[in-house]
Formats: sequence, structure tokens, C-alpha cells
Amino acid sequence: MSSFKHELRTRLREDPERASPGFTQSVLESIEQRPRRAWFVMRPRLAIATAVLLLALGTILGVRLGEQTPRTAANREQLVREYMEMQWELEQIRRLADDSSPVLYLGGNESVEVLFDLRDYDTYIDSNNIRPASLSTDG
Amino acid sequence: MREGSTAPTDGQLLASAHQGDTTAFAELIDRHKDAMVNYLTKLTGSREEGEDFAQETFLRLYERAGNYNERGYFKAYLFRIGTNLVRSSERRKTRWRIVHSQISKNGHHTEPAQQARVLRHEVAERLRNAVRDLPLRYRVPLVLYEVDEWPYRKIADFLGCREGTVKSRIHRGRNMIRQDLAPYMTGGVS
Repeated sequence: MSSFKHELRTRLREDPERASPGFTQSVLESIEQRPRRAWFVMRPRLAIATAVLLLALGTILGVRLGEQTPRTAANREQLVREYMEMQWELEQIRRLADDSSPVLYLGGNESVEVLFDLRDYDTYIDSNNIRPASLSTDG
Repeated sequence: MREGSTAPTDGQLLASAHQGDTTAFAELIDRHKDAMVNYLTKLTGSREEGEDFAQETFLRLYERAGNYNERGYFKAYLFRIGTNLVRSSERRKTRWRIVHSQISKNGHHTEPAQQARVLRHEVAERLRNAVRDLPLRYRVPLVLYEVDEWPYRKIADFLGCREGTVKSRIHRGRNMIRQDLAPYMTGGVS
């Protein structure tokens, strides 16, 4: 060991400090006097982090809840509206289906289309008297 | 901890203290108070601060008594609390020094005291200052090794680093002190 190392060690180790005579009693009295601190006092960083986290969570939840109520109501209204529209369209289709004339397209040109009305089919079959049922033009 | 005796372990005493047994805690303090005061005095360079930090260390120990698991070395646990207290205190002081130095610059104050202080101190006080002025990363392992005679391995565990790092830091700390104390020590150059 170099002389410097030795001297340093010797000087650092000489006169070791000892606790004062009233040390233990002083600590015990401090324990008695000092109220047990809450965790958020003992760990301020943890407390701040927790507070920030709770604030962030609260904000997110608040925003979501705030958004969710009108959005749900709007969704419900839209669903009802769509259902009604579908019901109406279905009714229209049924009506169209009922109203549609059962006809057979026989031919035609740009000004005349020849259709055979099948509602009278039975009559024609029975009577053996087949003839054009109707004429329809779109022009 | 007394090996081979029927005396309760440090962990057992702390557990009893946690249940409200102040006699057990007093015994625990008595076991370690001198080592704590010596370590913290050497670490801070001030007897008064060393004793204050040691008292605060035991108070913190009492408050955290429920958290202690006797897995390792109780003394290391205690020293860690003390070291962290010093570290926190020095951070606050550093902040204050930064603010203070800026104010001084703004006010165009001169500081002749620093040079004068270096000249008037005796070796013992100069050594205390040299140790105290070391960055904590060098000071803690140096004091644990030189003053408390902890082996490298134990210091490495304490600091959470490798043995080689501990040796390097002690060596570096020693060199920094040597530069400071060369004129005062017989073995200024090894």
C-alpha cells in the first residue's frame, strides 16, 4: 500500500465519532412527538404521480361519459328512424308487389310494347279464346 | 448482529418496534448509533450534521419498520436510508448554490473567502472538506471502504454496481483527495 493510501486510511479512521449520550432518548422522543406521517407526506413524488394519474383517468372517464350519453341517444334515434324507413320501404314493396300486374312481355318496338295479362289466363284457357290482354306504351 | 447468541436479530427487534415495543427499538438504536454517526459524520464532514442525519435515519427506519424484510444485511439497509438522506440534502444544497452563485454574479460580488479558507484550515479539517467535497458516487464507497471497512463485494451490493466499479470509484476518489491534500501529506505522490 502506498504511503498516501496508508496515511489517508489512518487519518480517516482516527477519532471515530460516537453518538452523543442522549442520542437514543432523543430519537425516541422524536418518535413520540412526531405524528406518524401519511404515505403521501413520506412519498411526495408517489403522491404527485398518483394525483396526476387519477386526474388523467378522471378526465378521460368524464369526457367519455359526457360523450356517451348524447351519442347513445342519437344512436337510438337513428336506429328508430332507420327502422321506420325500412318498414315504410317494405310496405311500399308489398304494395308494389300487390299492385303489380302479372303480365308477360310479348314484344314490341320503340313506340309499342305488347304485354299479355296473366290475370285473365284462366279465362282464356277455359274459353280457348286467346287474344291480347292489353296494350301498353311508354312513349 | 451478534452471531451465536440468543439475542434477537435486528429484524426481530424492528418487528417488535413496529408492534409498538419502544424498548426493542431503543436496543436497535444502541446497536447501530455509533456506526451511523461515524459514517454520516465522515460522509458530510460535519459532526453536527452527522448526528442529525443519524437521528433522522432512525426515525425513517421506525416509520418504515413494516416494510423491512430481513433478507439481507440490516446495517446496509440502515446505511442506505442515511445515504439517501444525505443525497437528498445535497441536491437541495446544490440547487441553492446554483441560485446563490447566479445572484452573486448578477450583483458583481467578489468571493475571496474561498482562497482564504483553503489556506487557514489544518490538515484534519482539510481532509474532512476534501472528503465532503467529493461527489457522492466516489465519497460513499470510499467512506464505506476506508472508514467502515466494508469489503468491495458488500459495497457493490449496497450500491447496486459491480465490484470493479467500486474499486474504480474508490481509486478515483482517493486521487481527488490526494490532489487536494498533496501539500499536507507525507505521501503526496505514490
